[in-house]
Amino acid sequence: MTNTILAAVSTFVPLLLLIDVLALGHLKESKSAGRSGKLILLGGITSAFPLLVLFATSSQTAQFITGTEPLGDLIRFDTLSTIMFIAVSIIGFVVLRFSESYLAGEKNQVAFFRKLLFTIALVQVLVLSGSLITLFVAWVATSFGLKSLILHYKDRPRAQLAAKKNFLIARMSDLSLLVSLGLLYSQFGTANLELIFEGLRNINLDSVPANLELSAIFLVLAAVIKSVQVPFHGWILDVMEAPTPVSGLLHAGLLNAGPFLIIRFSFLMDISTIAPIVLLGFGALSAIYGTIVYPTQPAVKTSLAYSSIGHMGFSLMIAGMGLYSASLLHLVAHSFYKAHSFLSSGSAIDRYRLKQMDGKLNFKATFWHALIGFIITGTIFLLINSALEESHQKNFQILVLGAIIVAGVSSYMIRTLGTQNSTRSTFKAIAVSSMVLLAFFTFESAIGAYLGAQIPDVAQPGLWLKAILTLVLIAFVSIIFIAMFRSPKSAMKGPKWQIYKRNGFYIHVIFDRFLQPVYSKVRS
Amino acid sequence: MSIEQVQEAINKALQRVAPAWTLENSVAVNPYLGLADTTFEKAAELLKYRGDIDLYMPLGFYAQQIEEGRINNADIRRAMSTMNIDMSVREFRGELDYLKGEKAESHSMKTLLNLAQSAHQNDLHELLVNHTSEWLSSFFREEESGSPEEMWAEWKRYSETDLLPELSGLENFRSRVKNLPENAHSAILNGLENLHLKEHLVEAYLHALLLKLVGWSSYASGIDWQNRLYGGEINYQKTLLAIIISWENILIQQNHELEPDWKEALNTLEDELSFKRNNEYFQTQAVLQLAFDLAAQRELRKKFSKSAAYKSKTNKDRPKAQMVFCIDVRSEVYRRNLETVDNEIETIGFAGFFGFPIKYSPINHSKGRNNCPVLIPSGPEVCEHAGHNHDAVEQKIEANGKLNTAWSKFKTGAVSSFSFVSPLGLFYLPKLIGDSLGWSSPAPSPKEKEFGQILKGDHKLDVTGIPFEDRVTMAKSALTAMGLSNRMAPVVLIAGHGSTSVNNPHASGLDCGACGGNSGEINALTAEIILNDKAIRQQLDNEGIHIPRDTRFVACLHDTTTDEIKILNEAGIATSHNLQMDEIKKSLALASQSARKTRAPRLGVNLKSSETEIMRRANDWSQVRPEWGLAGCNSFVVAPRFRTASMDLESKTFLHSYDWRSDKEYAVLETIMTAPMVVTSWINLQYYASTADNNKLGAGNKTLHNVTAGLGVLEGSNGDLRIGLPMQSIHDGEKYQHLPQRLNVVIEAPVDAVNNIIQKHEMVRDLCDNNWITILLLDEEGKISQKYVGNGEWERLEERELQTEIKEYQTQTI
Repeated sequence: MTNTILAAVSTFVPLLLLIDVLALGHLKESKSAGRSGKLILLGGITSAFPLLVLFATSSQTAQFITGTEPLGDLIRFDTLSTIMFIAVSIIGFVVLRFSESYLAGEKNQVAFFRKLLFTIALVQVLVLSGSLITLFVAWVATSFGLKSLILHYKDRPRAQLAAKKNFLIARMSDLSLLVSLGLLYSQFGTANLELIFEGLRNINLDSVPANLELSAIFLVLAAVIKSVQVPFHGWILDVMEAPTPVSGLLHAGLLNAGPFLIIRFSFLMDISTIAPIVLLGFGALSAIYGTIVYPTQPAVKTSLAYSSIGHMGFSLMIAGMGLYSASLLHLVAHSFYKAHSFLSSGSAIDRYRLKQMDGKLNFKATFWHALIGFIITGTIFLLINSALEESHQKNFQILVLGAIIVAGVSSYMIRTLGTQNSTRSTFKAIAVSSMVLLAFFTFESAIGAYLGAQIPDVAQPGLWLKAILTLVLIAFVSIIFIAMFRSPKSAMKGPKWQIYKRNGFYIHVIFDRFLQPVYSKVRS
Repeated sequence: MSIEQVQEAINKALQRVAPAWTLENSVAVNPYLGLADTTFEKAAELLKYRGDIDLYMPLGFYAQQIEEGRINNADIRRAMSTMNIDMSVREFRGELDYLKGEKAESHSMKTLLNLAQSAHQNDLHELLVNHTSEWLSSFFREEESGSPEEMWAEWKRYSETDLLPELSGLENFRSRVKNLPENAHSAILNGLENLHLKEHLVEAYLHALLLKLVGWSSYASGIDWQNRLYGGEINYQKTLLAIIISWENILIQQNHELEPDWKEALNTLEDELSFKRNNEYFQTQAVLQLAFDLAAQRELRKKFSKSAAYKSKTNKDRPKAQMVFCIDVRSEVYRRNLETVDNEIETIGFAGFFGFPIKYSPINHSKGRNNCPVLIPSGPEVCEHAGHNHDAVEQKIEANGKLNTAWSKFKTGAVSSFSFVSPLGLFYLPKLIGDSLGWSSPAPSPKEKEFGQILKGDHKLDVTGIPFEDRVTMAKSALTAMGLSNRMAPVVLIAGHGSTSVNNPHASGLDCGACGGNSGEINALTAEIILNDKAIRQQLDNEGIHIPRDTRFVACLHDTTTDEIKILNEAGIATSHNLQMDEIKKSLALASQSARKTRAPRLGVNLKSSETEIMRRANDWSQVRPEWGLAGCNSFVVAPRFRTASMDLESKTFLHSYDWRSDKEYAVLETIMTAPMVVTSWINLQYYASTADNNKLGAGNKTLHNVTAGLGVLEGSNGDLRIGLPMQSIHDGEKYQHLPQRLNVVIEAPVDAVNNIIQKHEMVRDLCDNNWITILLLDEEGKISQKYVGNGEWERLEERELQTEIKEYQTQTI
C-alpha cells in the first residue's frame, strides 16, 4: 500500500515540474523560479528513495501506476527506473542549483530555468515509462528540450549549427525507435511494457520471429544514434556554445537515454542474435574512438565531450555483451562523474597549478615493470574473484570485462613501479589497486542482485561472440599499454595518423559535409 | 623597400600587440601597450581600422551617462574646445540624439582573407582562426613547448598532413604549405613580396593580421616578453605572424580571380586616415569619451576641494600600530573602515610585494612561482623548508607527487579511464552534493597546497636564499619608500592581499598583481622575517635606519573577497606584544565586519545577511562574481594619507602614501611614477579595454568558458584565445560596474619634480603626453590645482571655475 502511495507521489514530480514550467512563464524573479524547481525535485528524490530501499530489501522489483488500455501501465517503478529516476533527479537538482548563481544577472534566466525543468521532467517520464507510447513521446520530447537549451544563446552561429545537427540526428533516432516499438506493438498487440516483457520471456529461442529481430536492430540504432556513437557524434562537439550547466545535464542526464533504452529492453536484446553484435560493434568502436581522441584535446570541455562518446560506447558495449547490470553501473557512475567534471571545469587552472606541486615525473617503465605490475594486479583480481561467493556470475563476458578493468588498474601499478618510487609507495599503490578492483566487483554484483528479475541472466556466449570479445579485449589492453609507453608530446611529432587522431579522424567533418544540403534546409 | 625597412616594419607590427599572461598567474596588462607611442585618439582610429576594435563605447552609453548626470554640459564644452570643435553644446547634443540610434560603422582594413571570404561564402576567417587556435593550444599545452624554430617546423609538418582545410574547401592546402620556406622569417618576407604591399602599409597590414588572432598573438607576445626578462628565445609571436601571413599567401595562390580585387584593395588601403574625417559617429564618440574623462576629473577635484577644508591631523605621537596595505583599490574600502573603527592605527599604501621581488619555491614544485611585478625579473629565491627532518619530508612529498601523477594518468588515460569510472564514478555522487552545497570544493585550493604548511606553522619559509646584503638593501629601500624609516609604531602590520573563489579560471586575476598574480602571503612573510631579523636591524642601524627595539613587524593577509584579515605567523609574535595584538585584532575584526557592510550592496548582498552570505559566496562553485576586483578603478593618489582620509573614494582609487618633503632628490617619486603608476595605468586600461570592447579585448561570457591548454579560455567550442576580463567581472547583469575612464593620477609634489620625471622617462612621457593617463597636482592646501597637458606644460585649474561648473551641473539636473 505504502509503495503505491510512494510511487504515486513520485509520479507527480514530472507533472509538477511541467506545471511549474508553465507557471514560471509569468515570473520575472529568478530566485523563486529556481526554488520551486529545486523543491519539486527534492520531493521526488525523497519519495522515490524508500522505493529504492524496498526493492533492494524485498523480492519485489516493480510497482505500477496503471492507466487504461491500449496505454497499459503509464508509469513503471521498478529496480531500473527507480535508480534512473533518482539519479536524474539528483543531477537535475544540482544543475538547477548551479545555474542559480552561475546565470545570475542574465536577462533570460527564468527562461533558462523553464527549459531546464522541462527537459528534466521529460527525462524523468522517459525513465519511468510503463508503456511504449509514453516512452516514445518522452524520447522525442527530450530532444526538443535539449534543442531549446543548446540554443540558449541563440545568436551564436556555432550554437545554431549544433542545434541543427542535433535536430537531424534526433529525428533519425526517433524514426528508428518508432519502427522498433511499432514492431513490438504489432507482435504483442499491447503497449504495456510489463506484458511485452512477459511475452518476450516466453519466446522460444529456437524460433524467434523476424519482427522481433528487426525490432531489436532498430532499437540498437535508436540508442546508438541518441547516445552520440560514431559517426553520429558531431553535434556534441559544439554544445559548449551553451552555458556549462547545459553540458552538465546533457552529458549526465540525456546521453544516458541510449544505454537506458537497451537495458530497459534487455529481454528483447536477449532473444536477438544480431542486435547485440551490432551494438557491441558500435559500442566498442566508439569506446575506442572516444577514449583515444579525448586525451589529445587541449580544451577541457571538448575533451570531456570525446570522453563521453567513449563512455557511452563502453556502456553500450557492455550491454551488447549481455552484462546489463555492469552496463547500468557504468552508466550511473559515469553520469555522476561527468556531471561533476563539467560543473567543475572552471577548476582546470587550479588543477593545472596543483599538478605542478607533484613535481616532475620521469617515468621510465620497462617491459619488466609492465610485467610485474600486471602480475600484481592480476593476482589481486584472482584473489578477489575467488573470494567472491559462488553465486557470483562467472562467465566469459564478465571475465573479459574484468580483464579490461584490471588492465587499466595495472597501468597505475606499472607507472608507480616505473618511477623508481619507494617501497612505501608500492605498498600504497597495491592497497589502492585492491580497493579499486574490490569496488568494481562489489558494485557490479550488488547492482546485479538489485536489478534482479528486471534483467535476463547472462547467456552463454557463442563461438562468434567469444571471438569478437577476445578481439575487443586485445584492442583495449594494447591501447592501455601503447599509451603508457608514449609521451603525450610525441602526439605532435608522431606519425600522420596521430594528426588525424587529434582531429577525431575527421569523421564529423565528413559526416557534416555529406549532410550539408540537409542542414541548410533545417530551420534553427 | 630595403630589407632594413621591412625588418623594422615587421618589428613594429609585432610590438603593437601587448603581452598577455597565462591564467595561472594572470596579471593585468594594458592591451594598448604597443600603441603607447601614439595618442589615445589615434590609437582608437588605428585599432578600429586594423582590427575593428572599439576604444569607445557606443553612443547610447554616453547618452545615458549624460541623462544620469555623470557627464554635464561643461564637460562636453571643455571636451569640444580641447579637440578644437567649433559647435555649441546644444547643437552637439542634438546631433547625439540623432546619432545614438545609429550603429557604429565598421570600416576595416581589407586582407585577402576578407576578400576571399566575401567571394566564397564559406567561412574562411573562422577556418583560419579555429585551425590556428586549435593547433596553438596543442603546441603550448605542454610545459616545455618547443623553440620558435620548432614551432614553425611543427606547424608546417602538421599543416602538410592535416586534412581539415581541404575538407573545408581549401584545395591543395597541404601541398601549398609544403612549398613554404623553411623558416618563419623568410615566410613573412615571401608573403610580403607576393602580396605587393606598398612600403608604408606593411606595418598596418601585419598588425591587422595579428589582430585576427589577437588573443594568441598577445599570448605569444607574453612569452617573448618573459623570455626577454629571463633570457630565452623570443620569436614566438613572429612565428605566429608567419603562420597567418602564410594563409594569406595560400589564398592568393589559390584564387587567381582574387588578384584584381586585391589590386583594387591595395589602392583603397590608403584610406586609413580618411576614416575618421568621414565618420561622425566615431568623432562624437571621441568627444564624449573625453567629456566622460573630464567628468571624472571634476568629481575628483570636488572631493579634494571639500576635504581640503579638513585640517590635516598628522599624528605626531607614536601610533598604536601602522598597517601597510597594497595600493590596490580594494584596500581603500578596508582602510577607511579600519581608520573609522580605530583611529590610533595608521594605514599606509604601498605596492603589495612590499619591495621584496622574490621567487617562491614550494617543496617539490616543478618550476616555482615568481612573486613580483611582471615589469621586472624576479629576484632571489625563497623556499619552503620542513625543519630538522627536511630531507625525509621532501622525499615523502616527492613520493606522493609521483603517486598522484600515476593516479591521474590512470584516471585520464585512454581505456584506463573506463577502469576508473566503472568502480569509482559512484563516489562522485557525494562529491557532487558536497560541492553543490558548499561543504567541499571541486579541487583543493592551490594556495593551500603551495604554502598552507607554512601558514600552519609546520613548515618554515626560508629566506636565506637572498644574500644578506640584498636582504639589507631590500629592507632599507622598502622602509624608506614606505615612509617608515624614522617613525615606527610598536606593531607594524604588513598586509598582503589575495582573494577566495572556487572553480574560477580567472581567480588569479583577483590576487595581488604586484606579486605577479599571486596571493600576497609569501611576500608579507618574507618582509616580516627580514625586518624582524636582529642581524639585519643591526646592519640597518649602521646605515642610518633605526628600528626601535620594541617594534615588531607582523605579516598578515587581507582576503579581498571576504574582507577578513588573517595574521599569518601568530606563533612567532613575542608575548610582549600580546596586549597590543589583542587590541589590534579586535579592531581588525570590527573593521572587517564594517567593510563587508560597505561592500554588501555592490555585491547584491542583503545587509542583514552580509556576514554569512559573503563567506558563502566565496566558496560557491557556481559563483561567477565572487568579488568586484578592481572594477571601477579610475584614479591613483600619490600623497600622504591624511589628504584622502576623510573621503569616500568608493573603491575606485589606488592609494600610495608619499611625502615629498622627506624624499631626497625625488628618488622615491621617480620609482612611484615609473613602477606603480605604470602598473595602475595597466590595470585601468585593462578594465577599460574589457569594457569598451569585450568581444575583442575582453574574455566574453564566463558561462561559456572552456579552459584550453591549461593556460587560458576559449568562449564556447573554439575560436581565438580570450584575453582580458570576462563580462561578469565588469557588469552585474543590469549595469556596468566598471566605467571606462582613463586613469587620473593625483600627486602631491612640486611641479618641477614631477615634470622632470615625466621628461626623463620615455615610458612615462608616452603615457602622459599621449593622453593615456592624466596627471593632476595637489597644492599646499590639498586641492587639485594643476593638470599636465603635454609637452612639459601645465594648466592651472581655477577653484572658481570648478564652483561654477558645479552650479551649472546643479541647475542642469533640476
